[in-house]
Amino acid sequence: MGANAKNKLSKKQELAPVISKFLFYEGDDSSKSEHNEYIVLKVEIRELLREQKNRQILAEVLLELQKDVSGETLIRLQLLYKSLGLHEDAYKKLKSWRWEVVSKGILELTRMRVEEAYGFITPFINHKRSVVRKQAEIAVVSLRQEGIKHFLDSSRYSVSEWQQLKLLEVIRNFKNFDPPRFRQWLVSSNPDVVLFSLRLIKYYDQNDAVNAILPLIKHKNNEVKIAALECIRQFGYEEALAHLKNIFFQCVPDVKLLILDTIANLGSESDIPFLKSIESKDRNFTIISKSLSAINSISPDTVLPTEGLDETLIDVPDSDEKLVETPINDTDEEFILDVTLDAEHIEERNEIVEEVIAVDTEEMTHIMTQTQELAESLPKPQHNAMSFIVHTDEIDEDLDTQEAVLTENLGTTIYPPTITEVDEADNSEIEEIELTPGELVEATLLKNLHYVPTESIFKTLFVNKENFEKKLLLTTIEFAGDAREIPLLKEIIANEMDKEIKTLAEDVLQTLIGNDETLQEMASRTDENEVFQMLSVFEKLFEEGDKDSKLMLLDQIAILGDHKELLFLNKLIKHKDVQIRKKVITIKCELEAKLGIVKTEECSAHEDVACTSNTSKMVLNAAVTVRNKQRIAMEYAFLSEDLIAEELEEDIPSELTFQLAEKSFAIEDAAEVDKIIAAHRSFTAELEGLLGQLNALPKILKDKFNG
Amino acid sequence: MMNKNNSIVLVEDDELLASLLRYRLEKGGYDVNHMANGKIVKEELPKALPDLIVSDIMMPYLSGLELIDFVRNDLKSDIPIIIISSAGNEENVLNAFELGANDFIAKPVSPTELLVRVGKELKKV
Repeated sequence: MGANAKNKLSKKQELAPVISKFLFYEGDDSSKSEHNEYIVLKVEIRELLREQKNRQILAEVLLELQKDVSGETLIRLQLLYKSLGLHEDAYKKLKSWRWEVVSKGILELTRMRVEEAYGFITPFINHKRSVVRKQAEIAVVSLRQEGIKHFLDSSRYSVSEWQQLKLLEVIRNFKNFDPPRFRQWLVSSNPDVVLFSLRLIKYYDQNDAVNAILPLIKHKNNEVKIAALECIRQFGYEEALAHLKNIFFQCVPDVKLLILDTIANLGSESDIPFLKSIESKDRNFTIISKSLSAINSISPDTVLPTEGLDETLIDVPDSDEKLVETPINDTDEEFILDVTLDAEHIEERNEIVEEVIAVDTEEMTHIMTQTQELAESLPKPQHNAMSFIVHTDEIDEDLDTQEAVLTENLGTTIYPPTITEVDEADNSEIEEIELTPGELVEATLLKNLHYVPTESIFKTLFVNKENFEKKLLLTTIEFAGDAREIPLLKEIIANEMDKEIKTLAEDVLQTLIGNDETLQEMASRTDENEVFQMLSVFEKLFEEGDKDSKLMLLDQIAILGDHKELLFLNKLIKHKDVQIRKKVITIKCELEAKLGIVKTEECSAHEDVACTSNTSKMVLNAAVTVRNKQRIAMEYAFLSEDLIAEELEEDIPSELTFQLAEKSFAIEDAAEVDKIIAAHRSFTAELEGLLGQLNALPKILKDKFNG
Repeated sequence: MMNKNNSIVLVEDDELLASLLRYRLEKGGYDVNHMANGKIVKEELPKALPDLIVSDIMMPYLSGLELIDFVRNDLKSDIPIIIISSAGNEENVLNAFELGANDFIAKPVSPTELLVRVGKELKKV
């Protein structure tokens, strides 16, 4: 603590008992000695107050005490403040050119309830500094009961929610407060004044204001609209319902919900047709639900549950005490794993474990190869990417039939499960099979092989939904969906029983596809995975980039692209920009040559027709060669980076080292390699500098390269 | 005004408020011993127990709740304790009563009201 602060503290401690004596001086009731002591103290304190510093300390002490005391002591303290003339210092503060001093002055006068300061403070209600303004608002409203009127009349600035609460708190604590008719401020040009007035009308139950409130349901400000609706609801103003219905469909969801709530509270049977019409006219799920609940509020049990009911369940009278067999739910799971082991099985399992451990690496590789081949020949799952189906007639009988069983995590705990298979074609036939090691590995692999991470996010949302939710989802897909939703839409069209949903799905699919040839081709594919594989990562980047970045991206497509990009390039052949169009033709030829679809010569011949006359075969061939080298160099660079990263983790994978050596071997000239890598890096840097929105490109390319 | 022999320990860390309350209680006829924090209370109280304790809840070293617990369980005393707490601090007040406080007065404090409550508690003893 500094010397100044210490002095101040000791002065405060010195003054505290003096203040106490002043505060609790009983006047005429006090003894003569007390009276004499009081007079002496008064003289002393007047002497003390000649110094500005002491005045300031005394004011601070009184302000501090003001916070902690109440009742008669507080009133005496405020009187003491004024009788010592300390409020004069506060007035001086109001004249300061520093806003924080002004603010302190207003605060001091408010706390000490210097009513005479009211006139000095009112101009600060529209001060440019919000701190001063807020302080003045509180002061004006606190110091005099009519302060609230002055505030509502003259406030030109916005009044925050918090400030409104504080002001309400002030007037709420007034004794014998006679609130003015707040409806007179509903015509204010300040929307916050209107809003605050509406809240005050509601708080003070001024229900004679409803006629003035009604027009406010059409106010531009939604907060005002909501406050007006709350008043209407609270005052039970039924005449407003017709107006509410008229404006309903033009309102934002929050207001709609409140209108529905009001109709639910005040409405009658005559409002039910309107509420029913909302279901067909509005697409918002919450609003539709609210309208249904409003119907039930007006007329209970009008809307009964119809969705998600099991039609096969029938009411059985209590007297019929028949035993009903619980049906086996054979559609939810393709497999039921039975891992219950008896003693015989445990012994058997131990033998199997020993056998499995004895399987050497070569045998395992053999099994894996067979499994992979088998996996390709097996049907793919239709719904859940994590489920798998095994058809016994399709399992290769040549596979090892030993009873060893492998789990996903080879080398850990091993169980011999019996797997109950459910034939999809005939549900009545349930057959128990025991899997061979190969079959189990295959099942495990299948499970992972067909996991499609890029599937539509709507897919899981659509399952087991009621019709109105399905409609809502389809509408969302129409607005927010893209090519990823095509398989889901096709699946809905194929399997949906409800005609309305089916038609809606068809419409949405048509909207999504439009005139886009690639999308049309995607929609014609039957395999879901094939569709996802058709999506090029470059497409999105291309859409967002400018012309230069588009040309650069085309170069990258030539280096890193595959079949997906061919589809994308086909789409770009009709691009409106001539330069891009020409480049697309060149890149498409190169890519086709790289993928072995056409030979370089054919490509060049084709190029001759498409390109301008000065594009020679030699230049084209040179470009293809350079790009091939660029591609290898980029792969080399990425692998180097990966290797460094792996080395940092002190675990160098042999496969990576091998790949790196392979790339290095592919580039014969070391100097050329360095040159290409440097060019690639500068290209990447340039790309980052030029195109802020494409700054993630190297990572995307790297991720793409790494599969 | 009241029995002059009654002694009160006032535990309050705010010097200004303590000075004001002390003056009011002394003027009401009590011997008031002001202790600024719980540490002093723990040292001084076992030496001589007062007739009543007026204590703030929020204090350095020892809270008002701990003080009640100390008096009731360590000193095994049932002298009246009046707690001063901020308005709205309901949980603390309930805890104080549970621990054995006799009365409660909210801040901002009315010194006159405190005087009345002190007199009432001492009358019960």
